Amino acid sequence: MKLVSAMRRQRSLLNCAPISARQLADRAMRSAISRADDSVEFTDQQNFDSAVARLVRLIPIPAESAEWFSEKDLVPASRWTWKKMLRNPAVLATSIAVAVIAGVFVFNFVSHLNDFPGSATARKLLGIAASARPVMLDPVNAEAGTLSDLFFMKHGLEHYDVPAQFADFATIG
Amino acid sequence: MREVFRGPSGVPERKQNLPQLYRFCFLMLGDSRKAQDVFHATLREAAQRAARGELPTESFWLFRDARWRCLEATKSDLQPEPLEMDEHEVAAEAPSQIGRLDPMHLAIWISAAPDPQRSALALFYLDEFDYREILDLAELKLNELSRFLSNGRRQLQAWLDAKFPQTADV
Repeated sequence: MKLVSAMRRQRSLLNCAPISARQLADRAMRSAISRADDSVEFTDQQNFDSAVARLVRLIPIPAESAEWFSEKDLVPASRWTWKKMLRNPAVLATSIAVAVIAGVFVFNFVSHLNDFPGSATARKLLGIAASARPVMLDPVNAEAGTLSDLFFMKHGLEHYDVPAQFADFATIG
Repeated sequence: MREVFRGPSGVPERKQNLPQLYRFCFLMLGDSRKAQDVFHATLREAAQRAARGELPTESFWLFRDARWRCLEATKSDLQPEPLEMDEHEVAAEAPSQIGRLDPMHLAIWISAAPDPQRSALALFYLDEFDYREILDLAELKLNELSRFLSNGRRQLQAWLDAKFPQTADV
């Protein structure tokens, strides 16, 4: 059934086969023509159509009608206005993109106005501190005075000192 | 070929080809005077609409408009009777027979066909549109266009055979 329908469609396409190759834009049509290219019937049809099309091109154009084919366009090109230009989708899209890029630049500039030397490191430390979770911390149950040894051994942190008067204080976790 | 009448974007619309538009009217009406009337009326109306900034956005609107004017112009004319026309297979010698025809004869023959076959034949033999564009312009389905063209060829061949009978080789 599908085969019959496909053959019928191919026959229909061949009956509408273009006279000149410039009208051959359709893939289905190209395929139908390539299948029938060798058939005598199709060649006769093409010759017939070409002869009729040649005759049509010989139809003379009366002088009064030919006046319409003057060099200047019948409709002058529309005048250029700001309003019209702004309504053009391409211009609109470009304007929005430029505005967004400008916005990003301004935001970056304003956010760097309050920078100071070492602000990048400070920002990094704050970032790490903000992302730290309680589970990542080991509870310590010891006297404050022993913390300098603990930090040195565990994290290589030197120069951590607790004033002597607080050395006996117990850590709180 | 001149392609005039600009679309809303200001770009000349593809295939709004005025000489071909006149030929289309001529094929549809088979009469130079009537074809000129329809052609001029179509272009005058188009120019007025353009001046008001109301040009249609659809493609081939000049041809579409001209087609309806042609159909309107022949509405009051005598319509061809729906009779069985002779049909002959397209012959190899058809191009030489067609070569002996006058464009006027062809136009009269096409204009005598009932619509939509008339529109289909006129649009097809302009060699200006591909089949999908003809389907759109003449508001036809593929199998209808195929039937009209196929029957048209065979009927034209029968007419050619009657007009220029082949002398049998002895």
